[in-house]
Amino acid sequence: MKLKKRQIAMVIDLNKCIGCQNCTVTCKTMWTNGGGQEYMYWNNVETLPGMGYPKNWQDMGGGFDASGSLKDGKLPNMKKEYGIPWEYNHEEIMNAKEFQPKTKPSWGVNWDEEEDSGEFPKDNYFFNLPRICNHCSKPSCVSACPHDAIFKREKDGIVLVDMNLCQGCKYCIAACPYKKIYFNPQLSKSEKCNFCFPLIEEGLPPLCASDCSGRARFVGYLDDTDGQVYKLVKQYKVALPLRADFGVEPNVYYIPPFLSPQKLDKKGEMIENSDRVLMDELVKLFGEEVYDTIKRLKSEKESKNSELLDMLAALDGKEQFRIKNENDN
Amino acid sequence: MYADIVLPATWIYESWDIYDYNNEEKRLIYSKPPLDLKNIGEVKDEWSIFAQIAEKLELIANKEENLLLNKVEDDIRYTVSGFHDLSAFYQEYINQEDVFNPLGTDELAYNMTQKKLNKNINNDKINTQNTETKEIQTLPNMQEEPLWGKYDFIFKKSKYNQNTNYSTSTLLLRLQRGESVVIINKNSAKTDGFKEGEKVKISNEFGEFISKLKTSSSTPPGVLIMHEGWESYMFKSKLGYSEILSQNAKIRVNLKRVEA
Repeated sequence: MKLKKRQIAMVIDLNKCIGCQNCTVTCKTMWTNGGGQEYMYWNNVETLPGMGYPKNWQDMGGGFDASGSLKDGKLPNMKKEYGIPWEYNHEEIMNAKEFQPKTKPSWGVNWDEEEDSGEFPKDNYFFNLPRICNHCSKPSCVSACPHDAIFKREKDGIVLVDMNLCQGCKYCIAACPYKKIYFNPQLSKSEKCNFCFPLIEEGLPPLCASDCSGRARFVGYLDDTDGQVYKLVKQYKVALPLRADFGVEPNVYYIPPFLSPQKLDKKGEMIENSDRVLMDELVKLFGEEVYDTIKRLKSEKESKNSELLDMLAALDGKEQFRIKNENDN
Repeated sequence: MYADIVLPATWIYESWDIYDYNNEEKRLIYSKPPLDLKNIGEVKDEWSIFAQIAEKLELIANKEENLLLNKVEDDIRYTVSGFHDLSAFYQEYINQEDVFNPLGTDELAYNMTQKKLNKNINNDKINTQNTETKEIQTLPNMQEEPLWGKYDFIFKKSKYNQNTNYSTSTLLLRLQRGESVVIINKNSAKTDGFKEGEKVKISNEFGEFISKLKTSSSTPPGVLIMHEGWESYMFKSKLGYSEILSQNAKIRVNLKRVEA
């Protein structure tokens, strides 16, 4: 049977992400619980405004330029940008010792959350940004790999690393603009999010999506016109890719946060029709389209019978995941 | 923890109970089993299990060969030396007149306590229409006046409570830097001379603990906000935020910088 080229995609509604880190925890315990993987978070949730994980990943280069050639990228520094994964002296505290980390923490996966994010109004509003591998349509990690160890599957578009071919040259890490591929120093090989492909093949959603307590994640194929992912991305066009300017055509889409508390005036009373959303941050992440998208989402919120809003409310949790693939039959 | 025998006990919301909720909030909670509850197997509430054990013990203690052994001396840790009379152990245990202290976890003890509380309320001529709240107000240690201190101290439910072992797992603790944070208004911090990221001592008449300070414009002035979910051993000198808590809903604290 001839395989049909398909692309699986995820839509994450940032209005519903509360930063509970359930996705991080489930992913960490499922996939990166082993040796050399301590610092790896295939799924992480960042607090914005902030610098993210690894620190300042957005300024590390990688991806493609306008002419389609690979841009230079930087390898994140273990100590400065990932932060050495610290352990605690749990075994010592029964003997009257103070509870403390064994190595001094310098940076971590959720470091921004408990840090001042700048001057007002930057510190008066925050949102959470869950990030996994984008399983890009033009993956720069695949282009950068000199050993053809990274490949994109035709049947669902998942990008995977062939561990037998990987030689650990780390070119892929420099090339990935999202820094979502990690180097395992114990195996001397690269490892990355696999979109829980064994589950996908069984017709089940990835763990980060099924464990999402806010039902913020939608998973489905981009060519499935009945699916909610198609409707959100292609039909209503309210889901936007992250940093489209990197030129890798990512397949994880985000519904930008458009709801916030109102601003207060000097007397402490609410200013009507004001909101605290930091548009500068959103424009940096999602481009200028975000203005238009938020406008449409807001107007949709006013209307009474909206298919889009019903979809975003995810009243029927099962409809969020349409993973059945005729290629697997 | 290890046990030789594990007995099937009902859950807290499946039994009659008045208990000091075993988190660090120290609030009393009343629970009743649902009307249509069907117990699984031989499961019993904890008080009934203890009562049955007491009954069995008393039976054994009153056997002829044990008559000389049934007065058990108290542990030396007790300030007043005495003994336990095992020959009347069960009688003592189910004594209905003396169950004001919420020891029992069965319907009997529950109702006795409620009766006692209602009696107190009537004596004080308080309107008993809203019994739930009034009952709780008459319990000991409740103060009506707010405590002293410059700042209001407010707890936010830790959002990581979904990951129940978040603060005890080495793996998960890295997500929150392994350090508790107290959030203060940015202008309050400026006028009172505190800086982002420094260690501060939070204290009131009951006690004190040390935590890291975070400044934010979203916090109202004069208020300290803290996430729950930290165990006492995770703080400096193993003194956690339970040091400053009281039964009073409103907690006021003072703030002082700690030199590193």
